[in-house]
Amino acid sequence: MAAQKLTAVKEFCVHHNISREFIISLHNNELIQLVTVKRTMYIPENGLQLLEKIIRLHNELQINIEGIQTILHLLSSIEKKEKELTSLKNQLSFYISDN
Amino acid sequence: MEYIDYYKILGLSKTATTEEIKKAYRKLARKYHPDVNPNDKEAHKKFQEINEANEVLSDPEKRKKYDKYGKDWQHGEAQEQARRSYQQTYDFGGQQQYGEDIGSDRFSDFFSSLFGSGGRRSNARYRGQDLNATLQINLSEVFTTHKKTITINGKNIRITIPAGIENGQLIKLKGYGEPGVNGGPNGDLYITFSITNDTSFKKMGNDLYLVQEIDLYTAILGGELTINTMHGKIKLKIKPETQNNTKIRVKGKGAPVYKAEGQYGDLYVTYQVKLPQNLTEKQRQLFTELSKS
Repeated sequence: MAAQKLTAVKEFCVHHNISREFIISLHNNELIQLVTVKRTMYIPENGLQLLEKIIRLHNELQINIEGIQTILHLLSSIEKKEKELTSLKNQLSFYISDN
Repeated sequence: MEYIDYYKILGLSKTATTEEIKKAYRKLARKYHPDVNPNDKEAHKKFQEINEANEVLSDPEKRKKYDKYGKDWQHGEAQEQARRSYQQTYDFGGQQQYGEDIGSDRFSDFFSSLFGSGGRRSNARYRGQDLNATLQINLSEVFTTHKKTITINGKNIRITIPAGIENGQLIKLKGYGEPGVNGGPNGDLYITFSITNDTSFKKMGNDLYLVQEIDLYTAILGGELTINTMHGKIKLKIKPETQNNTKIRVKGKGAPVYKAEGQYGDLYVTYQVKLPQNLTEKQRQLFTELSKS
């Protein structure tokens, strides 16, 4: 198994000036995944970007966890639709350039 | 440089209370925040404008100064410069320099003229601005993973373009945007690929389409044909009595599947039967004979 880079929750909280409870509640609401190693909680490297985005939404826009959940869901749905749109545009150009 | 109406940006009247300013800022920030508007340049620009408006109107001192000089900011600037140069000598020498270092381009020239480049509150951490770029590549380049150096804002960035990338596809390079301010993270770089077809193939998804002309005799009697594909030359067997517009599939000779090494789409070849022209007398006779049989 490939080694995973981890950041301790405690260290992350100090750096971002955010409470540990907030990170735990994000984990409990399945917005992020934490890893526990020898009773210490860590954030996997591949989850850091999302967590930083969540913190920006929380700190800069005062959005609570429920709101963040909704935003992330809608953003993911927009992203999916945009990909679908690109693919459909490409398919359409296939037929248009035929004429 | 034009006068900026910060009240108008936040949709407020000049008599707005601190609470009203806060409320208007929050409402607009939620609407235009870069995290909720990825890849939207207009929203990013708007977010900077409302941030600047909030920076001025939520700070009583800055608001007072803005209200006092208002449209007459050029006059105010001259007075302020004289005052600043006096203060700088005694108090703010270092701070002024620091102010200039930290992303003054986040704020408008108007803001800098009125408050100086160190005018904004220095403790806030800002994420750097995201950058957007369009990269034009040829379809023939899509068949292999390759590296390319692009220049963004005078900086050379070497990127890997994975085989199978689609026209209009967007990739994000984390941290390659504008630098963050006050320890804030760097923005991201978004690259949209625009693919120009420089081949005789047409691409739909991972499949390639080719129209291949065959002569009448090969179509009727059958035969072999060598064609160029993106994977090299291949031989095709043409069945006798092949009809015009017959489509055949050559498995695995299409375009690579994005981020799935060794997987390819299929190649579809449509035979277009080319009728002979400028027939000799003998050929004409033979066709006449054939038509009677």
